[in-house]
Amino acid sequence: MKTFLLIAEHRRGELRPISLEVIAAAQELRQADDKVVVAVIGEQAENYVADLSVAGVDEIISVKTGSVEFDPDIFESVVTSLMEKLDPEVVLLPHSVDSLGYAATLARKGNYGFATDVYGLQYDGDELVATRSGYDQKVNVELDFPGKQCVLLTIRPSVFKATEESASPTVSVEDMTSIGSRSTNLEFVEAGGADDIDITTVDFIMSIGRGIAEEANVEQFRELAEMADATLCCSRPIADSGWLPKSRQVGQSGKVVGSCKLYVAMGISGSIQHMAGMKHVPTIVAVNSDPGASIFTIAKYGIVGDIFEIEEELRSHFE
Amino acid sequence: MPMLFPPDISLPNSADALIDCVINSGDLHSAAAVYELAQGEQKKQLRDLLCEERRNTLLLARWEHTPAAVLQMLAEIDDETVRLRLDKNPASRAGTLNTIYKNSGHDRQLLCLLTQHAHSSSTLLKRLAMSEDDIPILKSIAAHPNTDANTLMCLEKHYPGMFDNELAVHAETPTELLETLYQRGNCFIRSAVVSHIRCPEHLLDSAFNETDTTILRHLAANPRLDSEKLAVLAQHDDVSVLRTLAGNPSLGAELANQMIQNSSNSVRRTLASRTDLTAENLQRLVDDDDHWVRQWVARHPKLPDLLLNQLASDQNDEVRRAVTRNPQTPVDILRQLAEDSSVWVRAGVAYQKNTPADVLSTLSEESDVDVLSGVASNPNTPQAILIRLSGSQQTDIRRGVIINPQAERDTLLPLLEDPYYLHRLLLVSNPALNDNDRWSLHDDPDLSVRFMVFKWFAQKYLQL
Repeated sequence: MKTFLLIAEHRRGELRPISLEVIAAAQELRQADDKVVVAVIGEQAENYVADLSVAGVDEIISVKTGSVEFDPDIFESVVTSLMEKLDPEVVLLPHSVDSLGYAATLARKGNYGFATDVYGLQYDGDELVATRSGYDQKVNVELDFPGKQCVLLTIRPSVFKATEESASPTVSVEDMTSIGSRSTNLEFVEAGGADDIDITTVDFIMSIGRGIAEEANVEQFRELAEMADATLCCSRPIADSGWLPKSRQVGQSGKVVGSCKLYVAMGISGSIQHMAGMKHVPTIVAVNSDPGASIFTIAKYGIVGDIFEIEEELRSHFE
Repeated sequence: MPMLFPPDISLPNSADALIDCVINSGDLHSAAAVYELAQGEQKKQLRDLLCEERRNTLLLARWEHTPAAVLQMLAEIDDETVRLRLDKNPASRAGTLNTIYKNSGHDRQLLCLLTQHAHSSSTLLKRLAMSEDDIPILKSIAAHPNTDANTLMCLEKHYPGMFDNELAVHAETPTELLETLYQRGNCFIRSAVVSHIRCPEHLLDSAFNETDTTILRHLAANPRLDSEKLAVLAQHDDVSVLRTLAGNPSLGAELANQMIQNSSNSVRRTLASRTDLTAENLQRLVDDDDHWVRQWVARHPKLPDLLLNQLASDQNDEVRRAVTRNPQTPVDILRQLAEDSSVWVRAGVAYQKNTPADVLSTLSEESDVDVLSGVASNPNTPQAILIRLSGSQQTDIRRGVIINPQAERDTLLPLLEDPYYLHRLLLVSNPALNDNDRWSLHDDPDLSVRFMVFKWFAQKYLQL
């Protein structure tokens, strides 16, 4: 029997979706008699227990600490303490800015096997094999961890499909409020970026590229995206010109739209760099006046035409 | 990675020396870059290098940057897979496509791709229209922008009604054929005909009596409508017709100003970008309840300063942002908006070409990536700030410096070693750098950077 220890994440009072995806990742490995334990850490950790009570979880440990939000020192100490107590074979963490703050330290101190940004998991006999990318996402690399009693992995978001099936795992409470942090918060500064939408989590994206020609035309696509209930994104030239925030840029220089199900590319030719951020999307609709545009090679539906005419037709449809 | 070029090799001082340098290196992508420049024995050596291994030939036949001259050379190779890849490559020119056609052996897949390729000539398309009877191939010919009027008429003659969708929108479709299409077509075909640049006047008159809103919407967009018809359409009750009419450049000031009171937001949004509105109506739009209307009017090129000032205090962030993007916005309003609570508004100021250096200096102290990218790419930003931003940890900010047309050589030099290959690629053609600076990238680990360096020098010698 193996024990899997999973660490949930929350931010500003809400459980992050990746927490449930990590639970889904664990299901790829577990056998019938294995045990999946999810730890949720924070001043009000108990608030997240209900959301974490899903199929595949055997136990939830609600760890009460003195910090409302994430603190790398506290998380490192708490996870170390839990690992000493549970002696897990596998520890799964979300691959996020939070885990970047303590996962490597934890692995080094414990001399555990370690891999980050993992998107594939399996057992080859008794050997755990984790898949991640290498050479700037050009190749899949399979890693095993010979001689390691425990392996710590951070899991790439938007890869494993979270279950919606609820369950009733056992719940225990640990009080670790005595664990302090080496750092002190002097002031809380609101991130306050130009945009509060995380395009890696949305499922319908309308994206614009050089084909829109000038900045004034951005407005009509913003309106159309709003009418269609889509999130407006863009290719690099648009963000580099300051026409849309950098946070809306899809591609190698921007973001990978991991959760997107429908991607409507308007006036995007489809550079390799742009396609690196969206070519995995199941339904890609490309609109471009150039029939030779590379975007058509990955599109499920292609329209060779003027994006402004298509925009007009779509607008009339939504009106 | 093994070194392709000898260490410390200096900038070649002639085209021959440049090509010899490539031949000695054996670097495939550099060879592709200088191929067009070479003559005689050097060209043969480059051809041998490019075609030495089949996998390299296949790679070049598909690569989006492969120069047209290399693609033409590859078209001569008797290899069907290579031909297929060339046929799909958007960079293949008409000559290459003609060669593929000559050697195609009537391969249907190849012919189909030829009829879809943007560079297929009207002569080739005509020849295919005359010799083929495959409907998808003929459909592609009917839709191809290079197909001439005679070929379109020929297709209609032999396959009447088969290609109406393609013919109705084709720019070369003759007037007589448009009339036929209008008579027999459905509402979408008739809509396309009334939007067509060659649509005869009497068809516009007929369309005016249509009841279908799709046709009327397309009619309302036609700038050839006279004022009388425009006035009648302005009374229509369909929003999409009115909105399209509002964007018609021939609408005229009087009608536009009448329509400003329309209850539909989308009609007023479209009107808000017109340059023929009265001062009174601009004021009305500035006070509009719909924030999209105010956003549109905030970008209006003739909006008086007083109204820009009013919109600069608008409660909606996007409206204030639109003020920052108006090229006519005065500096004092930009100064005010540089202290706006919304970072997206401040980013708008940072990107605005009229923002003075002192405001940009203040904004450069911020931490937001959009604000700093705007400062980095703004031509008014002082060089000292660009130097500081060129050392940013954030890729987007460093790229802002690279694309800044005023960034000086000393500012850019450290970026030649930028970890992001795209940045090094962009620097190859930067006019602030000299040839020795560019040459320092000739042995770059990234193949596309090496290719761009050699292509840049090859183009230079070709233009001599």
